[in-house]
Amino acid sequence: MNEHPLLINILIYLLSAVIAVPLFKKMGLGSVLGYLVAGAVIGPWGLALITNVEDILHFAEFGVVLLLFLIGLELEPKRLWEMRRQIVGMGGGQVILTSILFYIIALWLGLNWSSALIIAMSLSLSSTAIALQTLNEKNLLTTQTGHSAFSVLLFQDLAVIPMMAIIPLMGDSQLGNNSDLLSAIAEVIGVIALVIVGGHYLTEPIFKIIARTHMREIFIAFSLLLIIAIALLMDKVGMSMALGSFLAGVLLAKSEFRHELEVEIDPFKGLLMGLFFIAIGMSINFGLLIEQPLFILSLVMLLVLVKLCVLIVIARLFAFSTSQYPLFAIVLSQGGEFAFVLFTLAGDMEIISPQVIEPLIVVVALSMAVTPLLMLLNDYFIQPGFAQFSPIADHDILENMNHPVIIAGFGRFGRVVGRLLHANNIRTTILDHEPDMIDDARVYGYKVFYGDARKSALLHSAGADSAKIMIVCVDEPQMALDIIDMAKKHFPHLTILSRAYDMGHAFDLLDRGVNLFQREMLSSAMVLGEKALLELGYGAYEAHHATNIFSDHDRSLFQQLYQTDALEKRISISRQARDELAKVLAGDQEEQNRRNNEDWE
Amino acid sequence: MILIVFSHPYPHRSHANKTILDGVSQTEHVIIDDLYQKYPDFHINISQEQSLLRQAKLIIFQFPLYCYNVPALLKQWQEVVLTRQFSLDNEAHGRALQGKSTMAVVTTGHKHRSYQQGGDDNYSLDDFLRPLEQLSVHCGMHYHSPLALHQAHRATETELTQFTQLYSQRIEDLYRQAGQSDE
Repeated sequence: MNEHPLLINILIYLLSAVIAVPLFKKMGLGSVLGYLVAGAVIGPWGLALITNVEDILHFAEFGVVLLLFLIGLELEPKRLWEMRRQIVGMGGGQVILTSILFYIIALWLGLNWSSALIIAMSLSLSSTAIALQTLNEKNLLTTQTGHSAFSVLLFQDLAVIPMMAIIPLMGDSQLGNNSDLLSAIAEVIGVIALVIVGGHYLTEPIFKIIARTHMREIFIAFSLLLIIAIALLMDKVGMSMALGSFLAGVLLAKSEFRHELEVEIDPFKGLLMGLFFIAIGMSINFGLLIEQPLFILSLVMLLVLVKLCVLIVIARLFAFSTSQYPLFAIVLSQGGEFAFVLFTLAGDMEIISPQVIEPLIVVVALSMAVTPLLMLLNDYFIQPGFAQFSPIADHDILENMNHPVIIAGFGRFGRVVGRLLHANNIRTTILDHEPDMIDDARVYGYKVFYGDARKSALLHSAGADSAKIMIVCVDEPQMALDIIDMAKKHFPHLTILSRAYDMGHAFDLLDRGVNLFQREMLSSAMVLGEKALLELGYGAYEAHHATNIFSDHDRSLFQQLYQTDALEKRISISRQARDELAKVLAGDQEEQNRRNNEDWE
Repeated sequence: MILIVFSHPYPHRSHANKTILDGVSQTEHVIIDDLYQKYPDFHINISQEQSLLRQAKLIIFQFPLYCYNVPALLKQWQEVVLTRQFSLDNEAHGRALQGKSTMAVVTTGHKHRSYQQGGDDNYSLDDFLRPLEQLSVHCGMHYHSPLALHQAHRATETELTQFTQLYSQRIEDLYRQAGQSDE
């Protein structure tokens, strides 16, 4: 055991993750809970395979740093500036309101004012890691709710800085005199300026030089070096490491290396985030929980409930649509990893006694495990409830049950299909997992259900038993296949039509017996090609005719390709087919010339 | 307004038709309604076509004779634009085409003499155009006998110029007559 302690530890982490996460995913509980449980099992309170929890937690926090870096990459400075109202308004509102409530509760529970203040501020923060991982897994990061949640998290990350700064002030007065605070502020400003200037002017040329060497591992090494350096620099001046790397990400959002960075950093992020969750799971002190289960659990409930209430108030103030309240509130309802940091800091300064801190750490960790459970509740009970009992869907549930058409996915593609049918008075039931889309569509009298169309229960409540056809318009190829597999199994009477991503996806659809499909880009690309022919001087009818011939040919080529599935063969036939098409068009042109020159003018 | 309803699937491959159309489009009051250019997918904007017809005093159908008939899109146009409601009993506007003049201008691939009994084509051009004639009369229009350019693909530049002049002259005359009969 002692020869390779590191490797053995890694083995344990990987093994627990590989077992727990797929299991929890399969049960629909989400990966976060899987990691947390895996951590609890291998940790000191479980099988005690791992003991140095603190170190692991610190190391794994780097996963959050990478996560924020990647999110920064997606957000250009301009976009960030556009979000400023959301960030300050929603984030500020949430932090201040929650802090005030927890402060009152803490005082009421008999704590002194300084402990109460620090605890209140710490508990107002949510877990960036859990919230973003949850949103990401549900594909909701780019939705309105996702943006709002992210704005709040961003503000919290910023709010940590003054919180960390005032803790020393409240403890030993010698540690926190004014000149120290001033120089600390100066340091912070200096470091931020350094990151901005360096990120803007220095990194790009260096990336260029490194990219020219064509050594992938050096590119990765430099990327990680950069992020670690910035994170440490930020940490040094008492700022959140995650915030620093987020800043670096934003600065690189316009860089030409953005996509490469995303691809290379992503696996590291995934693994470290997993480790982070495992570490949280390990750090839950089950001893305390067993000693005082009622006390701890009621504190967890109190924490989550207060946060949920405040978040719902915030959602109301910012005019969310009602169906989005629960998701937004649940995602941010847990205590965050910064609470650990702040508690530890306050403990070191002897502002709060260990007897108060220990149960609080358990409460925060447990609250993180509550989020995936609440999400589950939301998916299965709350959101379907909104779909069924919202005022519009309410008054004609019977009619709803008899809709002949179900459309899964109401994005750019599904909307056109839906509108065309709607315009012809065909009643459709629409399924989508994007709340914004749903509210917009409901206003115009579409019957929209929120949820994951892969779940047979949702299809059942959407009236799949009495529907005739289902049109799958989701944009993710794999999700479309999953929906179709499920529908074939549970609702075999449905005729399935599907949007196909490309030829390969269309082959997959054919394999499943779905022959009513449309390749999503084909028609519009041909229309644009036809316009190009027009610009090149073709007559309108001739251009249209040439496009039709191309379309026919493409169809027969598709059939031919489907029958020969080896990749090698596909390539050679496609080359052969190009020659063939040229022949067809040339032949067609000859025919036209002959007809025009010799026959009818 | 003189409306030339032009129907040719491949106009820029037809030197004759293009030359003639370019020439005649210079004539005063002429508006060209190029069906194949406007509706390559045969999806005709009916109200737009009907409104053009309403404004016209003289309606010319210019087309190449295809399979002894009008080109497919012109046939489609007749079916969807010249509806009963539009041309026969429209309450608001009455018979929309009543009193207007019309004429066909046709290019053919064969010699003039083959369009007669016993010739290669066995019937005259007038015979082939009977449906158009009767359709016009049925809608209350004055039908004038067609102008034809035979063996259009062999026509010399001089012949084309002459034909274009004849064509312009003819439609100007008809337009003037139509105007007088209006007054």
